[in-house]
Amino acid sequence: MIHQRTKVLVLLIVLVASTTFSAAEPGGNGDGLRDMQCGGACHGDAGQNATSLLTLSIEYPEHVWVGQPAEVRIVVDGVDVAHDEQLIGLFLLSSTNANGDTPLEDGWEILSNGQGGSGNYVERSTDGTGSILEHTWVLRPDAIGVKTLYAAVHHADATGPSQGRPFFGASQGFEINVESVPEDLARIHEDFTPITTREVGEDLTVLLHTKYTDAAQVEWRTEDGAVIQATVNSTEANYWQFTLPAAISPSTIEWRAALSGEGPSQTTPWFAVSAQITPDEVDALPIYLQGLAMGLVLFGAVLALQRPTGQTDDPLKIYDETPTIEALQPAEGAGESQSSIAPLPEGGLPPGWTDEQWQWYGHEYLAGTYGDGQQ
Amino acid sequence: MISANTLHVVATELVVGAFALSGVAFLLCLAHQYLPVSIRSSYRSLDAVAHSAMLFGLIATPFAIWTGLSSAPGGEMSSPILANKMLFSMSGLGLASGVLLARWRVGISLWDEARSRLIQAVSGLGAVGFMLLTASAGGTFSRGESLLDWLHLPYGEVLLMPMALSALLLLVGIACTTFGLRSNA
Repeated sequence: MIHQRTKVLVLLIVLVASTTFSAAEPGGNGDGLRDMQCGGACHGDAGQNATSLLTLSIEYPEHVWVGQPAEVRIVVDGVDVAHDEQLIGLFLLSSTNANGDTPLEDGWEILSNGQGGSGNYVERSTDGTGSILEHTWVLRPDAIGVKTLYAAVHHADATGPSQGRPFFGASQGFEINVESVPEDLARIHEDFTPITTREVGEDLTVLLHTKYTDAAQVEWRTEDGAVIQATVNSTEANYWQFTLPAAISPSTIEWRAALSGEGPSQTTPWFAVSAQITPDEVDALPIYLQGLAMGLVLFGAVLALQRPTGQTDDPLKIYDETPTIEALQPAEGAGESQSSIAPLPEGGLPPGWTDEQWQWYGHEYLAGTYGDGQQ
Repeated sequence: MISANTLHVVATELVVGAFALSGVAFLLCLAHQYLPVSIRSSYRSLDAVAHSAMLFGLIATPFAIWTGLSSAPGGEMSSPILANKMLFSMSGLGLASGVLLARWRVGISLWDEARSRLIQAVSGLGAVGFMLLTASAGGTFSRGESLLDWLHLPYGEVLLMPMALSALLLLVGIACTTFGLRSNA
């Protein structure tokens, strides 16, 4: 018994020791709006994280005006040098509090995440990027003053001695001075929010609302960098309409507008528009009905096949037959003797005997063994 | 405040853990003849573990389904993977319920005969398989990967029957259930 317990203990120790610390979600978790806490939580226990050796910095325009979109770019240096990342999760944060630290918490509006969304977290493959990876967001501040942004990354290491280990890194704070807008600057109206997604195969007509703008030129570019001029029509004062052509497959194009008027001119940031295929709306009722039917058929099938046979809840004969056989042998013998009642002696029942006694013990009486022979 | 996502993770871990334990016990029950004598003689323990773990998993399953529907981004059936999860989990739920009810009605003597033993063990393992498929589909949906990726299962395609056929199947299920519950031969 002790030997068996030792073997079980050794087996359990081997199983526990064979587990490794590893990245929880090496396939990524998708873009979104995430706190820095996810940089630890998404890898399981934040205490398992090693420090990333990637160098992070943030680039932003010389002038960031309140209410106006501004490009904010995270630059990651050292990709595929110290680690084999394959996939990097990039955070744009307003603090390093670990929660409540997205740019939204500090008065920024995220107009574009550069990948057809409006979150502060994106995942990028490192294939073919070289040692420097850049990613651009378009933000819009809501108030004048100094705001701080941080870049953070999390990733794994696909090869080498740190294979499968999670890494996390955050940059220093980058202070951005948000200024008031020059009075007559040709600019996008504060109520304009760019569209970030559309369906594959559909044109996208954009109605651009501006202020202090007498002329607008729009250009768009594809993922391979080709830049094309769009035809812009003025529908009324400070309203400009242009159409982006349909995409034939899921992809991202970017557009920007050069605005000019009586005051200073400006060119907007590149706004990304992703083309995607939205799955058709599914009526849930047929799925629920089919699921219920499949469950009920399987339930009924098992019940129909496993019907009670009327047997008693006898111990398993096939597993442990020996005691049963031993128990049955004398019982069967007793049954046989009970089935044939001993013939009565010539004088009838012995004195003091009843019919029932004779039925059960008559054979012993005749054999002289009843009551140890003291008849 | 605990989000539906977190509750779903908790519920699914309970379900998957319980069903995995149940699956191992059913496997040992099925293969008891080829096991060492020391394990073979503990069939009662295996039977108890298999069915009690399955019962626990079964109790946790509705919570997993409910929290899963609440936490699904974009709606309950916004993805074919979610539809497949529903079909897998309902099938597993039905099979596991049948296995437990059969065990309760027939008693431990269902392990006596080779036929009923095979049906019970295979049904139990089938229920476990459905639940593991559900968990695998969930992993594919939320993380883009699962332990069963090596099987290359087509989670993106749903074998959806016409409503009429589903209704017919439902009637067959009701008939089977009625027959199974009423027969006591």
